[in-house]
Amino acid sequence: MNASEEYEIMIGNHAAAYACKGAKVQVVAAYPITPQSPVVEKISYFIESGELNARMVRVESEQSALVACVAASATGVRTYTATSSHGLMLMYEILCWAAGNRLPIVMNIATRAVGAPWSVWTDHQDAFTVRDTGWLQMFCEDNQEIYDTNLQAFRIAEDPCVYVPTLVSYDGYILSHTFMPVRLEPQSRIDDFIPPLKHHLNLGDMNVVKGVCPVTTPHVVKREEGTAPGYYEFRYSLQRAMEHSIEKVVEVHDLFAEKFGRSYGNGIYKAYKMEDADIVIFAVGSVASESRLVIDKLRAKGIKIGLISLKLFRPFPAKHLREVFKDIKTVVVFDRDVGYGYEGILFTELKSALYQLKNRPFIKGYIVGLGGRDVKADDLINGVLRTIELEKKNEYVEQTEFIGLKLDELDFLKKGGKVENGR
Amino acid sequence: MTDADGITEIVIYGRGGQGCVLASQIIVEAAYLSGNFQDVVAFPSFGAERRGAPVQAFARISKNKKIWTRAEIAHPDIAMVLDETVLNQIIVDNIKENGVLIINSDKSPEEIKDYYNITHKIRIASANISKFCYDKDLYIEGLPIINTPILGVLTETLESLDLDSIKKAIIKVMGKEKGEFNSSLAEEASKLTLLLNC
Repeated sequence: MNASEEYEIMIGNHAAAYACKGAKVQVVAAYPITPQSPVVEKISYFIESGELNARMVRVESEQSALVACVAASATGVRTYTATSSHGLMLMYEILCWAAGNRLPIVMNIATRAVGAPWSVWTDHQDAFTVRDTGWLQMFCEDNQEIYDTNLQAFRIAEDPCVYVPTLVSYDGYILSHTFMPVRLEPQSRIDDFIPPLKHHLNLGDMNVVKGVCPVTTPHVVKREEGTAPGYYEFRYSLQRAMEHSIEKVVEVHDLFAEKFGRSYGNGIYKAYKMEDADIVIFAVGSVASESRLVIDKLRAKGIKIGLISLKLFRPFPAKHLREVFKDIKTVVVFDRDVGYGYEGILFTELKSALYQLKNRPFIKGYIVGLGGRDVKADDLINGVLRTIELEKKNEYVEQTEFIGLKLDELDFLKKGGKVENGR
Repeated sequence: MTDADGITEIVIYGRGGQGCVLASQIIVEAAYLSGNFQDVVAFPSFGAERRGAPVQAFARISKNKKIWTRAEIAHPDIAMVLDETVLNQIIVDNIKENGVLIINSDKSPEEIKDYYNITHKIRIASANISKFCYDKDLYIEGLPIINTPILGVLTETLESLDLDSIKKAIIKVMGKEKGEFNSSLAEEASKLTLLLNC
């Protein structure tokens, strides 16, 4: 991008709002929460100023916000919401309903740590926690990517072969409140890119799409197979739709790249200096963008290292990742989240995907930057170097390791005492 | 100044309510408008901000390369201090070699150098913007307007960022009426700059 083009310097939240305006969303229901609030404030501004013909539904909680979105989307209008952290947790039940109802709602998460202790700062715990609700999920590394991914999200979610609600996540503050140049596309070109939403269901006619009814599954009478006939089949169809949606994600990404001239890897992941890499960092969002510096610094020292920045988290692109990692010697996964009692969620997911490989790489995961602790390139470099050392010794560390802790500095260790039982 | 990739890192120190974040936004807007920079990023010290509490805002402007780092700036090329009461030894020591300290102060750069015991090689630019505001009665809600005039001082220290771009950026960010007034302040303040190469 250069300054001669049409651009605005804006925060990530506003990039999300401009995409919603471009996509001509019709109903927005949301409840304010830091660091998401400026998205909906900006959309309210667009509506009040007459730039966007949409209805803003004011509600008393995030749960109600998503309920309103479910109801609106079920009538066949383009529907959007945004939230963070505790707001997303409060939506959990309705997330499952929205997915079960196959409603193409698009939601942004300005990611934020989940309490307790209280934190308004970023990590990926909130986004990963809703992994299993049945939403498509994508991550972004800069504000342009937020704008572009949101535009793609509407088209993907509303595709008749998909019809799955979609989450687009970006780091709270680190993108949500950071100013960057964003190129905004003319309305006519966006209109060409996102076709009008087709009603995929009709509340009055159960035969339009069999089994799809946002109120209840059809024919609720007790049958041999159980008291909720069709539930099992219905959930099967959701899983199949998710599996097939990978192709659609790639297709829409490629179409976008062709039309607007901006691309994000292959739409599934973004590879950086992977050509001759034998060691690879795997991460999402802010951790991935910080890793790009790590790659440059370590390459200068002669280490053949590359980055896979995952964009599509759900459906998890296991097949594509196996293809990438099949000849890789070492993998370092940095998680800005924890699957408490086990390890980083991204780490678990990648290992599971790579299990089928004949020659599995040496793989090691670290936790970084919870609750907004600054993730510095040097911290990540230490993780990479430690992994290389461990691999030489072929040593597996059982305990999940956290990088960048300040236990001593913050007086978490008893003065003069030893660390006992990990406390 | 600037690292191998041509990225200049700027930290603005001040107090909540003085408009540090707005200043950072105008800097990146101006850098981008000038055509001398390929990528720009500005962000506040994240979280809840209170009026009067010490706050920071950050700006990175890059000549040749896209900016990927999202970490806070620990060692700035330019430290811009809106309120001298927040300045301390750590801030001074953290400025990179060949970097710049820009400060709103009634002290001359030589006095600043002695007072803060500055031993490493940096440039010091001081301007008494508080007095400038006092003389001209430039107050908003009881606070002198520092954030836009000090941007004029910035242009005296950074070759690639000209006064004209700063003025245009102020108008773009603040709107025509407020912007034109504030950009004239930046121009006047730039003439108050006292420079010292340590």
